[in-house]
Amino acid sequence: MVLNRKKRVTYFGNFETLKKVHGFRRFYISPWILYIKIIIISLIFLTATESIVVKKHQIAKDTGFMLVMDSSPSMSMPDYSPTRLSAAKEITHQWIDLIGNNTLIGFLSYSNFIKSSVAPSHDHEAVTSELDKVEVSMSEVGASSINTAIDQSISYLMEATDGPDNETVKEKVIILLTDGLDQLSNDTLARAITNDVRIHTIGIGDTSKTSLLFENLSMEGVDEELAKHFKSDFVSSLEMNFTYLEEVADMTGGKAYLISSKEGIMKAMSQASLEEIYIQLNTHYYVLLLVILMSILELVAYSQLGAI
Amino acid sequence: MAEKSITQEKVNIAVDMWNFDSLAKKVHEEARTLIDYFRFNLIYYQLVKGGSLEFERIRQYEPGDNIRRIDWKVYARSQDLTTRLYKDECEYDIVIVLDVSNSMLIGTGKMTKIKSAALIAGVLAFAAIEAGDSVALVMHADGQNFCSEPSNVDVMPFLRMLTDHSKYGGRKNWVSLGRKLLSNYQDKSVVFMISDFFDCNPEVLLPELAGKFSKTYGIMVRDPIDINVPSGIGPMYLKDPDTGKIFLIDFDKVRKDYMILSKERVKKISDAFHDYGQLFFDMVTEENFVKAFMKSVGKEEVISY
Repeated sequence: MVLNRKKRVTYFGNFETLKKVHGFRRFYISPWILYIKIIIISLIFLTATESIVVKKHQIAKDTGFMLVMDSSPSMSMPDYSPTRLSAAKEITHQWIDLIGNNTLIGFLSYSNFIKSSVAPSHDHEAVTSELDKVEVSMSEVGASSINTAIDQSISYLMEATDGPDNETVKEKVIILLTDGLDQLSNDTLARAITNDVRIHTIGIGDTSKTSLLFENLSMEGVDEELAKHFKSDFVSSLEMNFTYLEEVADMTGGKAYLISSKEGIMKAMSQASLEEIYIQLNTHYYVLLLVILMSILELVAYSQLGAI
Repeated sequence: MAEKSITQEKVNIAVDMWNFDSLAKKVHEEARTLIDYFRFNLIYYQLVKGGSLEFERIRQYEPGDNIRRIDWKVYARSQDLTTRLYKDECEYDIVIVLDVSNSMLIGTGKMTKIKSAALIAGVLAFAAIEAGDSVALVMHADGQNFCSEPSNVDVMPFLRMLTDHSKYGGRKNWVSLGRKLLSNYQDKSVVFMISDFFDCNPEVLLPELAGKFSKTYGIMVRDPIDINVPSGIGPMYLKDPDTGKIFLIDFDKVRKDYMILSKERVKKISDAFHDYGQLFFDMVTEENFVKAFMKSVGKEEVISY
């Protein structure tokens, strides 16, 4: 159509006279007027059908969080600076600051037993205080108490209340930081699912330095049996656990994150604490306002081009 | 005539212009007629020198004298070559101002306006040089400031300048043109302005030019579509050569008013020139310039003979 129009165009010089006689009926062919019209009509259609929905991410509201941190001997690996546990603690501090005081946060650390726990509350200082106390002991080898940790966390969340009426929190989330996981019992998993507790799993994986560090790991001062036990546990934890972490997350409606850097921990924790919401645009105001503005713009365009 | 040429055909700006050879040939053909007319009627001298020439005396012919001053009656009687001398016969610079702006480059008739204007410029230059005057050429559009020095050597360099297409194109700028003429040329100049005179306010342009120069003449060149549009065309896409904008115009609705206003525009400019005692001549590209010019000049009351 445009090509055909170009062929039928005649150059003309006497616009001086033509403007005087043709005046407002002179119509300048501009595609922009058509584009504006299309936009206006589309917006009116979307308004009428209320089709405008916007997806947004925000810090989860009405949510109680339980941070469950693995503090077994493998968390002493120095492949994260300075160690895995230290990195996790540092990032957790930053995350707590990010979340803000309006969110319920609890904390629990474990190795082969529950080492410390704080029920979810707005008292974040209590959480950070317990967090700071968490240490690794090389003697804490053996079967992980992850099952107990998750069970305890679920209980905390079910009891957690918030708001002026002390209502139980609507959303219950466990963020699990671990570099190895024994299998959760089916009962624990079922309890989490039944009580709508989402488990986000953050698997602290190998960095580029891990293999080399592990080969050269100094177990000086550590009991030989413990050292042997540590090494065998560590190897097994590296090889297979992330798949299971994904399954746990999937079954409970959470997400699994495999990270390989300190920054990755922060990213994973931030994403785990966001919720996706859908906002239906208030079409009575914003879109119609836009329609009005576009119409004014079209009016201005017409007047500039001599049509009115 | 105009129906076919203007209906729905794309006019390619800057296509229909002279090359040097064709312009030179055409100028020689057309100018000869005009020069003969000028010579016979002494109209050139009245146009350029103003008023009638007053005979002063006769003297012996000297090499280099203008052969048109030879008194052939005396020669017929006595075989003596003598030269007639007139009072106030001094050399004038002829400044031919050619409008080369975008609106001049289009045309829907036999030739584009610029082609017609270039021919007029060439013919006038030829006649002036034949008469012994120096001719300068100004090719004017906004951004294009070509001014030559007056010269009476030969018309060919002049024609070469006219066929330099790189100098064509641009918007009109009458203010800039006025300044250029006033600053570059002497008082004893006769200015011929060849243009379609679009967007011209003669009340602003003429006072200064008429005040400085000996004469300032306007030659309006128009395309048939500048005057009238045939009926039955319907809506047309028209492109402004200056801005490139395309407009959809239904001429059938405004044809009569357009014709009337076009005539009024020409009359306004013509009246302004006459008010300042200058010659104004308008023609359409379909017409033969020489014939139309001779006819118009012959009727001009400004020229007393």
